Amino acid sequence: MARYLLLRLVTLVCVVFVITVFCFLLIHLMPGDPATAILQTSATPQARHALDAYLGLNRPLPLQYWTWLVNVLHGDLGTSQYSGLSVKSIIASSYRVDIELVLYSQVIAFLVSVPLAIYAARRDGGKLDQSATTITFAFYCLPAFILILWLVQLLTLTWPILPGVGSDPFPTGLPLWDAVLTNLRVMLLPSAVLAIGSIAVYYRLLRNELVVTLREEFIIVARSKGLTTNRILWRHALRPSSVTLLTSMGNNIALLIVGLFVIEDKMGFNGLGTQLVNALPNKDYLTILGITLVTAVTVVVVNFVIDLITMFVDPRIARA
Amino acid sequence: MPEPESHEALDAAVEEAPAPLAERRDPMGATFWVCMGWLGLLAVVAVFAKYLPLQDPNAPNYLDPGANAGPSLGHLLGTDALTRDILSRLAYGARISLVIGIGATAIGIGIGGSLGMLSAYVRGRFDAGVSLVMYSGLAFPAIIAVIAVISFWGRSQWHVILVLGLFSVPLIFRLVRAATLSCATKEYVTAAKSQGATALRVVARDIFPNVAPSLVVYSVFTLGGVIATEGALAFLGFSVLPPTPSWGTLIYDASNDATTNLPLIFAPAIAIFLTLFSLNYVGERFRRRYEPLESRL
Repeated sequence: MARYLLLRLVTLVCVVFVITVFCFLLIHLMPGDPATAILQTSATPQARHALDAYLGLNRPLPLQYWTWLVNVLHGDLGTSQYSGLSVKSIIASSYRVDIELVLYSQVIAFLVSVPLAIYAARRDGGKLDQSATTITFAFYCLPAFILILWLVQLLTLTWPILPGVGSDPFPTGLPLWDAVLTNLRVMLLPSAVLAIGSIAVYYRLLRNELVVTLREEFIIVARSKGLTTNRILWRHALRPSSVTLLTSMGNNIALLIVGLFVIEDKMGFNGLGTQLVNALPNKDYLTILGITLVTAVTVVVVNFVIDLITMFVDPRIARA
Repeated sequence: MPEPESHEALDAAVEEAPAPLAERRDPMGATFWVCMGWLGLLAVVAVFAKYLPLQDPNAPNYLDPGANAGPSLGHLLGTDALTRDILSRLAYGARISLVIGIGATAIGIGIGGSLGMLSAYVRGRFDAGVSLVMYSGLAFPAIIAVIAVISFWGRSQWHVILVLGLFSVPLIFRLVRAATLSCATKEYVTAAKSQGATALRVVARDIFPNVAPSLVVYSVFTLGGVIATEGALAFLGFSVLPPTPSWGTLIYDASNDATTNLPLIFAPAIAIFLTLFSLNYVGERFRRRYEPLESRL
């Protein structure tokens, strides 16, 4: 088991390394450079060279990457070449938005999809099963960018039940409880939109697995012992049926994190995606690298945690 | 499904089987054909848009119905804020969506499919290396690549195809690799290998025909995914240049103008919804037919 975990960890570290190298190459391939972005095109060549030398951009690329990597390993993400702020502070202010969006949406997705799947699997092909399958499938076919557009219009403008676009999800100067409530209200709409895609995926996987599990012999044994259907579903069938769900979760969350920008943009949140898109035209190399690193590490850590949970749910996986 | 262990068990299993697979296939059902009909209509409109009685999608109608006109006989869905015919913009938008969808899917299936089969067959270091790169591709913020390519080469549908195609490679790779792993240990592969066939030959002649149905299924799903992603990119202003219509840009235009022009708000969204629904439904049916075991996962 330790060997399995170690192997996974090494792979994940390699993944982060590959991603940062790829990102480094890509941003240096882009036309334009930080000196031009900062000094504009009217600057003299001398001034540009001086700035390049000051930022360390006149050194060979592998050396630049190496310096960045060593600094990162010492916990220093550098200073934004464009705004002069430390990359760490830029990330710290926007990271929480994305983390909360992902967590919130996954909580909603689980609260909806798990009970739904369990009650649908109870009667394979029954009314609840059919309608839940159809409805989740239909929602799955509505892309998030359309849903967020319509729901913002409907729930914040036509019937203003929820706080509108541009509300600060992390208000300051409020008592703790009020701040938490405001935060949950502001984040509800975007998280729900993100959750809808996940609900469809999780519901389908779990329902299909449960239907198969419920035909197994140990379920018949449990039934003949006289256990209630609810107890069989929640305590006996759920655990062996959730492995596929867990494996798909890692992928799903990775796609979610990588695609968060659409939601941030529409809601006016200052998340990592927004910071990234702002940093790109300014050739703010260190900010771009820092955000890519944080995104990659998050995806990797999430996957590792899910691996751990999967191992706990089905210990056979580690032994294979 | 348990593997029959002996010839007797195999014979018994064959005798027990109720009917040949072909006869037990359940019919595709009415919804399937409605979906296929919509996809067919879309393909016809996209290919023959020029020959259909549609206006030039960028031609203005300043005088006749004017801006944001409601539906009329001449303009079935009315006009947008720049007095252009919405129906014809929708039809030409289908063209962009389909060209980008099919192009990117071809890249994804071509690279992801062949690498996936080869990787699962060869195993060893090659497999480990390719898998690592693919896994990294999944966690890479695609928006960086999109902006890099667009600012490097300019906004055009070919660049969007390239980026979306490359980013669909890792997902397809994973699926195809898993599908290949299950058939790479079968007897017919061992037989081909023992006859001295090269890896490429085994993959092309023995593995590909067995993975091909799964490839069809994945390409249908990928097509849907790419069309949705293109919509999101256009919505953010990173897809084809205006005034070329794409479904995403149409939705973006409608939301930007804060318009009350209902056809402009709903028509492109409904078109995207129907297309994604059709593709996902058709893919699901194909999967149930070609991969009866995997489809329960």
